[in-house]
Amino acid sequence: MNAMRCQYETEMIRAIETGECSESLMAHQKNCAACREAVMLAQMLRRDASELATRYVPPSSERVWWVAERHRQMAALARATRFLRLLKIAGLAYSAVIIVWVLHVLTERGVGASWIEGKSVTAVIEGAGLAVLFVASGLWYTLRVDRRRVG
Amino acid sequence: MTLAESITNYAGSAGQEAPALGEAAFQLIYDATAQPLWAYLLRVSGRRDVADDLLQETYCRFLARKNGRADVAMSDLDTRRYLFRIATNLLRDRWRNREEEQENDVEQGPVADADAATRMDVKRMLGALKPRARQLLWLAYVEGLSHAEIAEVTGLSALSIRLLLLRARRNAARLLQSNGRVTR
Repeated sequence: MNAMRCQYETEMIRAIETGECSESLMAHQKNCAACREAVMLAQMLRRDASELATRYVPPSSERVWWVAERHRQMAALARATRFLRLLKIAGLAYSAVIIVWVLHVLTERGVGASWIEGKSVTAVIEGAGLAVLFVASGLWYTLRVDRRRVG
Repeated sequence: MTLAESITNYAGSAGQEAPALGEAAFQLIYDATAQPLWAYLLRVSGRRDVADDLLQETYCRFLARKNGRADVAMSDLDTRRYLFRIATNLLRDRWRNREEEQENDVEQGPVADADAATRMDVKRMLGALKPRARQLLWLAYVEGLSHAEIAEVTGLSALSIRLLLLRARRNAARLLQSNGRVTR
């Protein structure tokens, strides 16, 4: 027999659990140091576990259920708003690109540039106005929601 | 109603749609497993606050996964092992995040009786062992799991379990011997 590990160890532990220890197992235990050690440990640990279990009053199952439901709803919300978050990031990136592009054009051609002439003046002003409106409203919405979340 | 509120309501109503595991069925499972699971978490983590947190988290994950797999029927024993598996994974995640502290904070004050003395010995002995060893000893000797079942719960190989458990048992016995508590 292997002095380090005994093939009957698991059987011995199960016997402690069920309280049905055969005579052959009991006889084996007397001669097997590994099994005696395992049984001694199992008994101590089980006594400790039983003592802990009787002293512990767990939170009510309703509370645990409610918290789990809440977690599930939060996870569902996170999944549902994932697309909106992506849109926000895209909106911010778009705003940054537009601002950089406008600054680039203005510095290259000048603010009072001669390239805006005649009919194109109205179109340029309208287009710039709409772009500013969309970008500003998008930024305002994004930042407003973020502020609310922080608060 | 804002868009975010609408989505919140939608997510809330989606969560209430015919859950696969009813509250009454959950209560039965919870009543049968909460105490042994908490004892396991407490003795392996060594901290009451961690045991409390992980107990809640274990059942949250259990409900989330169980409701997502309504077709999978589980026996009481399977459910219990499944819960221990979730708890074991949570403990491992905690160790990986290096949030574990070795401080045991369960019993304080003088030792009043023989049972309390034994409890302190077990607590000291487990506290001196590595978390993995505590886990294996508890699963093998308290939960009565076989090596194959422990392998399933911990994600280790059965051969590793055999060797680690042997080492853990010998270390535990040595520690108890040094405390003068061994009956050999």
